Amino acid sequence: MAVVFAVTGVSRANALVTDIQNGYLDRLLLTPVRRGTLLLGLMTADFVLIVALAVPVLLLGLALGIHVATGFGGIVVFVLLAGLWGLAFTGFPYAIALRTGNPTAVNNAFLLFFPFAFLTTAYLPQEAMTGWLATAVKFNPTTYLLEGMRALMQTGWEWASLGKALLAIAGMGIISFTLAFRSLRGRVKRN
Amino acid sequence: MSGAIDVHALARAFGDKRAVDGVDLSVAAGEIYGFLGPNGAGKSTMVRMLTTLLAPTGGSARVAGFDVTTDAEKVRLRIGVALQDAALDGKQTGRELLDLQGRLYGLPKAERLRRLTELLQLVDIGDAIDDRINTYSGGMKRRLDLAAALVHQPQVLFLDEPTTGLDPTSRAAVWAEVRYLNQELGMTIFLTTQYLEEADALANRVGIIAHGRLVAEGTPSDLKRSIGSDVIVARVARGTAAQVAQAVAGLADVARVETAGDEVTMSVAHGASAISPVAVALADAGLAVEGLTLRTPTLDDVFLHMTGGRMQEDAA
Repeated sequence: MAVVFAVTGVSRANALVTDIQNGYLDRLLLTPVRRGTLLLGLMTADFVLIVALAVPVLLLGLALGIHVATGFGGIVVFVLLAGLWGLAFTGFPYAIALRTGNPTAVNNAFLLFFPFAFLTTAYLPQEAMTGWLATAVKFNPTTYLLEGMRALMQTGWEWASLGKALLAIAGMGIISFTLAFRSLRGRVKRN
Repeated sequence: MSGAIDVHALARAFGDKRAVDGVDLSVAAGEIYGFLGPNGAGKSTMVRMLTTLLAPTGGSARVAGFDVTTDAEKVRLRIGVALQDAALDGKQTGRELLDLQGRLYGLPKAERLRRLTELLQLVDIGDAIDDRINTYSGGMKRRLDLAAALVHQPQVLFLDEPTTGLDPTSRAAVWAEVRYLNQELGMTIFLTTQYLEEADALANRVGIIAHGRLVAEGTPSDLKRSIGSDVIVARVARGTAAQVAQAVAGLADVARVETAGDEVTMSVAHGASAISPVAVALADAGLAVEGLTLRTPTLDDVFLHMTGGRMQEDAA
C-alpha cells in the first residue's frame, strides 16, 4: 500500500513541460529520431525511478518484520508489479503535459491519482463496503493490483490475483499510453 | 532538378484564422532567400511547416528533395533549424548538447568530435562550452543554437528572425556567419526577418509576406525598381529652380520634374544612368547646382507600396 502510494504519480512530465516551454522539445522533434522514442525515453527513466523508490519501502517493511509468503521471487515480482503500475500511470501526466504545455496543469494532474489511490481495499476489506463505494472499488484497477501484491506478501503464489493485477496494469497502461502518444502526435499537428 | 525548397499552395489554418493562405515559392540550391514581413504575417508558421514541426492544412512542400508530410524524417536529416527563441536545455553544458545532437542524427563518435571542433571555430563560444547553458548570455545561447542546427551539416538552413533583439555587433556577426555558410559551404539558407535592411543585405531573393500571402517576390534590386523611379534631387541656387527644371525636363531619362523652393526633384527610370545626362544638361545650360543627390527606393518603399496597395484592392 505504501509502495503504491510512493509510485503512483511519479513521472518526468514536469521535465517534459519545461522542455516544451523552453523550446528544447522542438529541437528534439527536428531530429530524425522517431517521435515515440522521446516519450519512451522519459518512461524508461520513470520505470527506473519507480523501482528505485519501491525497493527501500520494501526493505523497510522487511526490516520491520513483514514476512513475505512468496520469498525472494515474490519480492522481485512485487517490485516489478509496482514498477509496471507506476509506468502505466505515467501516460496521463505526459498526455496532459503534451496537450497543455502548462506546468500548473501537470502539477494539478497528480490530483487525478487520489481517487485511484483511495477508492481501494487498502482501508477496508471488500466485504465491508456498500453502495457506491463498493462499485467504485470494483472498477478501480488499483484494487486488483493491491490484491495481487497482498497475495504475494501474505498468501503465496495466487495466480488468479496476480493475473488480475497484471490485467489491471495492462488495461491502465493501454489507456494512458494511447492518450500520451496521441497527444504527442496531436502536438505536431497543432503547433 | 527541382529546387532546394519547393512550395505549392501551402496553407495553414488555426480554426478560422488563415495564418498561411496559399503560398507558392521556390528556392534554388545555394540561394539565400529572405522571407520578409511584419509580425503576425505568417513567417514563423511557414518555417514550422517547412521544417516538419507543423502539419500544413493545405498544399504541399518539398524540402531538400523530400515531401515534408510523407518523408518528414528524410527532410529532418538534411535541414538545420534555428528558431526565433534558442531551443536549448539549460541543464546541459554546450558540449553535452552538441554531442547529444550529433548522436540523435546518427553521427559516429569520431565525427561528432570533429564537428564539435569545427563548430567551436565557427560560433566562438570559447571555454564556456563546458558550462551549463543556463549560465549563458542571450547572444551565446543564439550562437550555440546555431551550432546545434549545424552539427549534421545540413543542406538547407532555416533561420527564423536570426537577429531580432540583438545588438548591432551581434547582428553583424550573424550576418557574417550567414554569408560564410552560404558562400564557403554552399548552404541554401531560408531566413525570415522583419528587418528590411537585413533582407536587402543578405538575400539573393526576397519574398514579401503579409497576412499569410506572398505579395511580392524578386531580387532586392528588381523589387525596388518595380515600384517605379529612382529620384534625383538638385539643390539649386536661389531663383534658378525654374530654369533648372526646364533644362532637364526634356531629357529622355527624366520622367517627371517637380520644383519646390530650392529643390528640383526628378523622377528617373534608372538613377545611375540618368545622373550624367542631367549633370551635362545643367552644365550646358550654364546652371550651377549646390548639390545633386541620387536616391534609390528601398525595400521599405516596396513593402509599403505592396501592402498598402493590396489593402486598397481588397476594399475595392
